[in-house]
Amino acid sequence: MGTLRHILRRLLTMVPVLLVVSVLTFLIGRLTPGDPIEAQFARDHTPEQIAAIRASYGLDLPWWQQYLKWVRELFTAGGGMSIAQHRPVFEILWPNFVNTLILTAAGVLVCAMFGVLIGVLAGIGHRRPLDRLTMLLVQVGGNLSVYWFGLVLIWIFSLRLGWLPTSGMYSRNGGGLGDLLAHLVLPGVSAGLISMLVLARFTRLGIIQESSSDHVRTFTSQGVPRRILLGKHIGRNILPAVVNIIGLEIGTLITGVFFVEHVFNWPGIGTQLVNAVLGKDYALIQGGVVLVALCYLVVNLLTDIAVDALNPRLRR
Amino acid sequence: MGVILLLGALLLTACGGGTSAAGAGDRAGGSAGSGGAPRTGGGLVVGLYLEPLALDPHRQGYWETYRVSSNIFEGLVKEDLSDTAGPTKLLPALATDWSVSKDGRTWTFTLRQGVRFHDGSPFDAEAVHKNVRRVTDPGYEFYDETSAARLKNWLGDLEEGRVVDEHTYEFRFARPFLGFPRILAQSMSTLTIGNPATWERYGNDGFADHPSGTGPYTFVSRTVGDRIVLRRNPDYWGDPPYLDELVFRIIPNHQTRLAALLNGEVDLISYVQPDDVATLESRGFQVPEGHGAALLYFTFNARNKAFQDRRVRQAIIQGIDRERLAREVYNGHAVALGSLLPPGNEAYDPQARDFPYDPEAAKSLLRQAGYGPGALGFTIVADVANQNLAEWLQSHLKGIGVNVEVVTLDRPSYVARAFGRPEPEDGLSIDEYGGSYAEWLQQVINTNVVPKGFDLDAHPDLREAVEKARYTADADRRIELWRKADEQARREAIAIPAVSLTRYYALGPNVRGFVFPATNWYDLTKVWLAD
Repeated sequence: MGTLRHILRRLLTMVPVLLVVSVLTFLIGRLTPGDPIEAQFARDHTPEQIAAIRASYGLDLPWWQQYLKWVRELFTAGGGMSIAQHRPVFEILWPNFVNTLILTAAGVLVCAMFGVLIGVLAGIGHRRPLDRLTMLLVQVGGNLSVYWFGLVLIWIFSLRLGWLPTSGMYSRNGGGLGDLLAHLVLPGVSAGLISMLVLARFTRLGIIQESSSDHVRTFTSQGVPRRILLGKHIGRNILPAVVNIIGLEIGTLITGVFFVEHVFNWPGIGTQLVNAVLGKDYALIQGGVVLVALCYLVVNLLTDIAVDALNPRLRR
Repeated sequence: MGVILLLGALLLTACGGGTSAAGAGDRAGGSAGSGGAPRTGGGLVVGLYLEPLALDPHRQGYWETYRVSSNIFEGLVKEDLSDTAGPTKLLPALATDWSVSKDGRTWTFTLRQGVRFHDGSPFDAEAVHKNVRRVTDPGYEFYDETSAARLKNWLGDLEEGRVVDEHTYEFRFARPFLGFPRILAQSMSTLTIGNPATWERYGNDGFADHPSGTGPYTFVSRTVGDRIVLRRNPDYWGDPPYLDELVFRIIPNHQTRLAALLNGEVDLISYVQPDDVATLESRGFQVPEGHGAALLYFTFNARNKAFQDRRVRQAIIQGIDRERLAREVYNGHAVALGSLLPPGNEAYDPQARDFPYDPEAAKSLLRQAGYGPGALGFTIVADVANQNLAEWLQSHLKGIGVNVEVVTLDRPSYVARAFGRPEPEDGLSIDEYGGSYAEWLQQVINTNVVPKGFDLDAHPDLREAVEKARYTADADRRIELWRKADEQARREAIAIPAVSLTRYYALGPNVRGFVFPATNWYDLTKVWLAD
């Protein structure tokens, strides 16, 4: 019951956050230079026609009215009409958003699998060569640009070795889970890279700290095998922290995924939003940002619930 | 970590069930060897650098849109896209024949019989009439204001469009319009024929989601940001195309587009970067040499007082070495231009030169206009894609004592500032466009020079020369008149033509039959794939 109340409270706190996000997105779009209607129609439309088109999008209204109109359209008209595509925003964004979630999931998988693996290896071999080497790689990797890293991956695995496709989601003949997975490898690794390194560092630290805690030292002196110590005691104790980090990193990952989509031409929401930003397609940008913000909040909520479930001491 | 990544990659590829790693799959279809004879079948994947706009014959914009949509829609007239030098010949398309009245005002088209739109609706004079009404007649239920604005430049003088009989259609203009058939054969902002049954069913906004025309390929699907798929039209009236399927993938990132071609995932890309030409050729890829009808050119912000003085405009032109620009910015994969009528244009004159590169003459002109060394300064406004060009101009113009600042903006901000609200110190902006029709000169003046503050009324000779050419009823003198108008435009130094790119497309080693025509789009019906 307490947990349910906690979830409800968290759900309620999402409302003001989304409200602030929506106001900020709305204002930032309007404060930056450039005019989408002029950009699209200036060459071959008269000023009167441009004014009429502007009015048809409600862009002639005072700002506060434009904002309210947009909020209303979020619930009733699919997020308003895209200026460039003349279609409801969510109708455009949904299919791409699903693709972004697929890529994000791949990134999370890479992050969770390899982040924990690297962290555990380094933690177990604390101060040994493997630990030092791993941490050096983590240090170097943490400073890599995802953009550059993606291009290097394409160069090695696609152009030199010819193992994996360079870009897109499906090959020319399309279709099939295998085809999709092959296309997911490189962008997934690029997307998960930074978060994987963060997770590796935390996992390593967790293992080192837990290993030197009183109870583990006691178990060690009692002759409990190291395998059981690691799996049952240390592992279980650091698991909530690991889940928490993964949850937090998903947020970072969603924003990082946009760069990855650009490099690998993944047909996700990032590609759409870059196009929308280039075209100053207000409704599309705003709809996209709200969608991403909502996603971020939901992931945080789910992480909290998972951490709660894993660590009864945190339950209220 | 590298090993782990490698292992992960291998693991997931294995999960892929042995999918062709490069994603190349079956290319050509059929089993015969390659040889020289064209083969039918297979699919061509094209990598576009821009997301096409609406696939609506009357709303479309950008060349990349037309490279897709010209496979779906056709006009009454078409250009000969096997012509690499230009001016292209005009060929019958949906009209088999056309004639003009003596006064040059009435055009009569005989329409091709037995043609059907992709949904089976008949193509006839009534269908043409609905296309005309959609873009000119506010009384028509499906009148489309957006389309009407785009076509106003050419159909603004239309007095009446009339169905003469089922296969004859007549346009009557208020003034002579001898350039009309070639304009009908163009890409954007002209009367390409769409299927009226589709907009009557889905509405004007819905048309682009269900594009239907008479072309050699039918629309299958579009995933914005990813791909557009077309399939061969089995009922096409003309010579059937060789390829079964066309897939247009949208890959804006230059490196990714190049990598996709190198890896065999796409067969044809556009907007090849000059630096990549050598790489592609060394690996057996084809980078045909040619030129479209597009040109890169710089326009003045005539609201800036300095550029109201012709001597200053001329000085800037004489201060830019366009041959060197072609060499240094485009690795020599461009030709320097001296006129706003580019190669491929029907009025192109290879001898036409505005002013030769002469830095001393430029400095002297600036002095005469009251600008000693270092006294003239302005801003070049460019969109981000042209940043390197703007920076080159910045360093180059120092040579004649002109101080330049560079501002690069995303495309909409660029358009809004260059065309809408320039800052007072703005001097030049960089554009790319061009057509194969002589009337292009009028278009560039109306849509790019005048909107930037150039007062045509203060240059009656130029205005008169353009009007004389545009509304002449003398077919024999039309091109000559346009060249005269261009000469007048050059004399007034209204803008700076710069270069035309010559290595624009790249193709996989097995693509055959592709021609780099003297227009800005190509014909894929003659393209086939060898082994």
